[in-house]
Amino acid sequence: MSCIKVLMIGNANTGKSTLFNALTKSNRHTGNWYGVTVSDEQKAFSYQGHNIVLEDLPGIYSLKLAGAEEQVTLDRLKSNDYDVILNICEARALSRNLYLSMQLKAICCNMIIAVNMADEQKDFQIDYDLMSQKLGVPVVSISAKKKINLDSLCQQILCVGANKNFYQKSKDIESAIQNIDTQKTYEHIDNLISQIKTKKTLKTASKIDKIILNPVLCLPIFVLIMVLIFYITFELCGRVFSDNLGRGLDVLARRAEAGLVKIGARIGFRKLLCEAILGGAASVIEFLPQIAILFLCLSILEDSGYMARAAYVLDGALQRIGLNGRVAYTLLMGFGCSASAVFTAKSIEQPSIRLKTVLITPFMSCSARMPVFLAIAGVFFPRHTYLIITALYLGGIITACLLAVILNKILKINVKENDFFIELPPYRLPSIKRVLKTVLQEVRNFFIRICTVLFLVNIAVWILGSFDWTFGYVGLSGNSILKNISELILPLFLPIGIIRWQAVSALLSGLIAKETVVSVIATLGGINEVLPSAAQALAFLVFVLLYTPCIATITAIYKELGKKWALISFLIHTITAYIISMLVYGLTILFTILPPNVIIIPICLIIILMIILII
Amino acid sequence: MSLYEMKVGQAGVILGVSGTSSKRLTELGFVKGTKITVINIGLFGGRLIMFRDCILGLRSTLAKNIEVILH
Repeated sequence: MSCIKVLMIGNANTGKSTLFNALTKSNRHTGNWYGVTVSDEQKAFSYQGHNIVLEDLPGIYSLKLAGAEEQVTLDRLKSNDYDVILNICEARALSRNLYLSMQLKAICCNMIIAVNMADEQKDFQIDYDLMSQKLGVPVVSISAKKKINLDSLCQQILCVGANKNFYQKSKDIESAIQNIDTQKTYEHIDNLISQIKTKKTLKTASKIDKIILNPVLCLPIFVLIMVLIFYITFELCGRVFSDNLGRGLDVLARRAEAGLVKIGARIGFRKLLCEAILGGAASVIEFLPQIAILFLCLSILEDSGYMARAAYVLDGALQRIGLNGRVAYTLLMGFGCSASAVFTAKSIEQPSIRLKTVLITPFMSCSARMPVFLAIAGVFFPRHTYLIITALYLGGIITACLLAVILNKILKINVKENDFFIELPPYRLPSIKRVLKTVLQEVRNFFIRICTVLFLVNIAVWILGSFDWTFGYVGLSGNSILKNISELILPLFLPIGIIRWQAVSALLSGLIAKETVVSVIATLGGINEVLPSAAQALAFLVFVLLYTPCIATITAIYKELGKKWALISFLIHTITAYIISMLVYGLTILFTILPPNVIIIPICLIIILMIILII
Repeated sequence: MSLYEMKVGQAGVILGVSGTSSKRLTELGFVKGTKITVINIGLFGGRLIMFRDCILGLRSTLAKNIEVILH
């Protein structure tokens, strides 16, 4: 069976990954946004008895630019290890997309142009036959999303791929590309477009953009959308689903224990099963609806095209702290999972901005911390859970901004130097199928984590917490191995209000995965037992919000920035969390013993002083 | 004049680009003779322009580096 290797190359957000998913039945992350794909991926599929290997590459604008993504593509082209170049263009933006096509055409002859989203454009028409004739390259109009014309695209791949006498037009690809005259090429394209496209282009912003990007309304709208997402996730969804789910799981756990007593299971086994495995898992599963809803909101935001607008709106504000609008995407993804958000930072061009972004992303409270917040805030502040959690998220964002400012000072980065531009994609209705697929994928990941990481951590914690050094069963209140170890470092945690060894164990297990903080607390005696007062609970929440990222995130930082920065990030997060939660604990205690008005004035003064110092 | 001085709704033709990002912009299609229209001025001074059938948001520093002539 013959094998045809196809390289997918095209501008950002032209739908390469969507086409890749459609042809190979994969589930690569896609979004209505520029720079979603940061790594390349290969996958084979068979078509009419032929084996076609597709390779999805990150989107690029021009091979003449020296960015990391352009380099990946250039290296692939230089390797000569491919049969066909599949150049994907977007019908709407042909006059810019074709520039890359011209560069590819100059270096290679086995090439196909797929014009994607051809169905979306109703206000103009393109003469594809004429286009193919003028360019001397086969052109196929497709819709990757609706799977239109993919058959003729595959036929074309077979047809072009059959030409095994394929040759590279030029030996020295780099100089061939550098020799292309940008001005003349664009003039040639403009000339071509005027022949093949019935012109009727928009000259004003759409009605939605006029409102959403209005200078006065844009920020309130952004805040409103964020508040709405948090409200739906924590308040509405919590009331409707999580409370009932929690009650159901409780009943189930009790029945299971009663059943085990009835059949006469030994106490050690019974406790292991009920306390460690069932109790621990239930304490996290309870919050599954919230996590699913959060991912649902994030993927709708990403698919609709609003994310790019938010980046444009926020750019000016982020510029002041030495970041740019592009960073907003990585930070928002950080609300889902810090580790995968860190990887999205790859497509940020300026190294200094990428560095800062990676370091501050873990301060965005990830979805794994959500169960910890919900469980603890639910016990201590049942009437203000939503408020407390919103304040925690805001606190994370503010800490991230402060850290960015401090990093600018330390690394002596000139914040005014960087330029920024962003393309705004057209609004698109999020595809229900894709959004649901993403959410299901996240739910699946969540269950996999419960069944693997959480399961093992809980069993380990239970075993270490129930046996002493001679492996005699002492029960969870006895003098166990875990207790001895945790009590050893407990004095370190006293200033931040942690006085029980169980809380220390929970925090230690959180280094592996943040969800385990709450499941370990559940295993070791419950929230009320571990955190005796509201002030301590608040300081604990702040510490969990900010402290050391989990192993997966540290690994991601290591891959992005190297060993040195992974270690620095480890230290920065731990120290910041320690200082801030100590402050929170101290202030909360002061508040409870002194009348509020005595306290508020000096605090305001300190905050104002800090802001002045930073600016 | 620079793109930064254009008002919302005004159309112009690019004369040239300067500054640290000039190569990126040229590669993106900001070549002499390209038509642009300003469609929004942002809260923090960013500019939104219609350019080669797409919408592009530019930071104010970039907008100042693009030389245009009104159409």
